[in-house]
Amino acid sequence: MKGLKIALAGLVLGFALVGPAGAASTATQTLSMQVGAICVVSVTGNPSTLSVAAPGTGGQTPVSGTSNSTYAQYTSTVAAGQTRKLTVAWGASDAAPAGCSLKLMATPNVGTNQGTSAGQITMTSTAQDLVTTIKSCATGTSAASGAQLAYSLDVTDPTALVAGATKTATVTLTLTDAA
Amino acid sequence: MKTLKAARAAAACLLLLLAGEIRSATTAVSATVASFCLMAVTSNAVTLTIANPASPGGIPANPVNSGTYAQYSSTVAAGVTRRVTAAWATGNAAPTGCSLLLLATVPSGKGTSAGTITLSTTAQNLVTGIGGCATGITATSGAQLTYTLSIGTVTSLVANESKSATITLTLTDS
Repeated sequence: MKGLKIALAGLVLGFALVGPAGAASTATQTLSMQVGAICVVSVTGNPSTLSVAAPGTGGQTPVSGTSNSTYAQYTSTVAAGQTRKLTVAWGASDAAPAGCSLKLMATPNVGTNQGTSAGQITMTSTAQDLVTTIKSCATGTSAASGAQLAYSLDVTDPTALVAGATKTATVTLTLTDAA
Repeated sequence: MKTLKAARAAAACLLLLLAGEIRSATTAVSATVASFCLMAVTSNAVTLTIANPASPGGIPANPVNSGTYAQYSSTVAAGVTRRVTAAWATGNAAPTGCSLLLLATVPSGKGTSAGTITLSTTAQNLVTGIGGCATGITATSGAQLTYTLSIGTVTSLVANESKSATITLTLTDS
């Protein structure tokens, strides 16, 4: 009897939440990070109508029509050593009014990597450089951000001007890898 | 014969129990909760890619991944807390012009977020004040990990640059 009591009293039940014990445990994750090749451009709108106007003084050449209210805005990422450029051309059948030529100059923002103006070009259907040496940049998207586009309808031959002549041209700006 | 004796003894004990001869017995129960500290993540495949901005001229959006969770089970002694730290391996780096940010969003009772950290090779607190808890093990249980590849200098970005980093999350005593 005594033996049985001792045996029962001595029964020990052990409950333990088992698991790897320790003061620290780690887990790892592998992250892949990549910079996409970004090359996008837009314009803030269409320029106002360019009209050849009367000169201030009779006998002078008529005044060029100008518009500089629009901007080319672009975002670009380039590989090391690579640059991009902004080119411009109008449609194959586009033309300026008789006696005139359409000129364009872009003035990039001062911001880093936004490129260098290629100066004023005379529009043709062949793409010409407008801004060069564009690297990784973002010009911004506000109304006056980006490369300012200065259009000028210049009179090249006053004797060829036709009063009332109207022309519409579609100008395409392209952001592309420099050759 | 031996077997017969043992059977008789057992029968005698049973009879004594039924007769109320053994009225009480004491049992010492020892329950031990082991100290454990377990950590896992729901996935190790996280990709962050800088893509075109919403509008040309705009800065590309910072890519974000919130699809993984840190899951942990912890038991601590009275007055003790644990924390989750994060660090990446020596030699790891974000793409040029970028930094890698990490934020843990912690469910109630599973610790406190230490806020957004910028990953480096030095372990930094991600979650603190972890007591005894088990976050659960479903796909969306635990502390949600939000990785952000933050563009610091857009002019420093290098197209097609890829980097891979190994992030180590450690559950450890505070």
